[in-house]
Amino acid sequence: MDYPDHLIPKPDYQIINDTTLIRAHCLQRSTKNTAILNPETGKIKAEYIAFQRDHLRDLSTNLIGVFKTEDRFWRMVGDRKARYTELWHEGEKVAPPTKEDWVYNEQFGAIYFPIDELLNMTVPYTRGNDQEQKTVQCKVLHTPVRSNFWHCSIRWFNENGDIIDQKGKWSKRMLSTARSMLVELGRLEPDFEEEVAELIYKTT
Amino acid sequence: MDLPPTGEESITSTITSEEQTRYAFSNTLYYNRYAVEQKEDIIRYDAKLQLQRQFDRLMNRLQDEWQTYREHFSGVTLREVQEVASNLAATLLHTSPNKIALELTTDATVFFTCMYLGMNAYVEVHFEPGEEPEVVVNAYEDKKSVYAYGGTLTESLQSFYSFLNNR
Repeated sequence: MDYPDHLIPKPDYQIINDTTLIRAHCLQRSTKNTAILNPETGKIKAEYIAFQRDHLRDLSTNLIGVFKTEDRFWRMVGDRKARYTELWHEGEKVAPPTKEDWVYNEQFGAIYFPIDELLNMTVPYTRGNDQEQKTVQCKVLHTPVRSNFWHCSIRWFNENGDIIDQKGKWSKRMLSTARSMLVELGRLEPDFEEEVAELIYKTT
Repeated sequence: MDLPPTGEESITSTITSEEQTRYAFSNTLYYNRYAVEQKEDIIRYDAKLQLQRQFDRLMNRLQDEWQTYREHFSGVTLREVQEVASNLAATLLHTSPNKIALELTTDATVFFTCMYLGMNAYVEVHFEPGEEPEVVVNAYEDKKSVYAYGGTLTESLQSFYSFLNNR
């Protein structure tokens, strides 16, 4: 078994800067196992959205299409893990990972988020006695890494920019909105699995 | 020959339908004064018991999850979390959600999911040592945000109540 070639970025690929072009597609978020739903509500468990502190600010996902649902089982390990999970730069040629670089683990579950629904979600905030109002907006960024061209990040912005650079109460509100939105929109199956059109990610 | 009565002879009613209504059991003084009150008491008692059970379930969940998540609540005690979460749970239960659940998160928060008819609300309390907890409420209807608010416990609950009343 070899590491799938369709995951490796190629020199003639380009970063998808306009993610509205892929709004019909879904993002996949891997989970530690398949016990994803809260039995009391039937909704996604909050801990399956982000299982480590601060993960929510920059949520790692995969763009479903060329990346197939079962591709989540490939995991980078070993001495070269850091290199293979670093961001890929346009034009860079990547040597395929060898057997020492990966494991295939079928225990992982997955949650899916339709990009269209994420991009459509805008949340204006009000506060009783305070006239200040801010709007939380979800953005999907294509952030390919050397072992996976289809890696994307879900990020959150308001009038002051990216939540990553913010602290304090507004940051907490954005985090809560992010978590609630992902619980609300998350599902167990992708709605759309067609391949991403080549003209979107190939330079020629 | 006269036979003893069998008890099956037909009895012709001389009471009109209007009188039947007037004399219906549910119109008696007894029924109005005692039976209805008793029935209402039973309904009220059942509802209270149901709320108590749901409340206990949420608080037990908090206690169970604390073992796993306590390291993320550094500088915050279980008692502080319980105090805020219990106030929130009791108030949210009185908004009559169809389903309600509580979870702790690695971001030192308590996260409530409340499902109403046609709407889901998520209430999250952020804890930080020495600071008043921040309560953020988000509600969605048909995959659209219909309500978002952040503030103190009292501010957020008042605002959410008012939103539900005007819905």
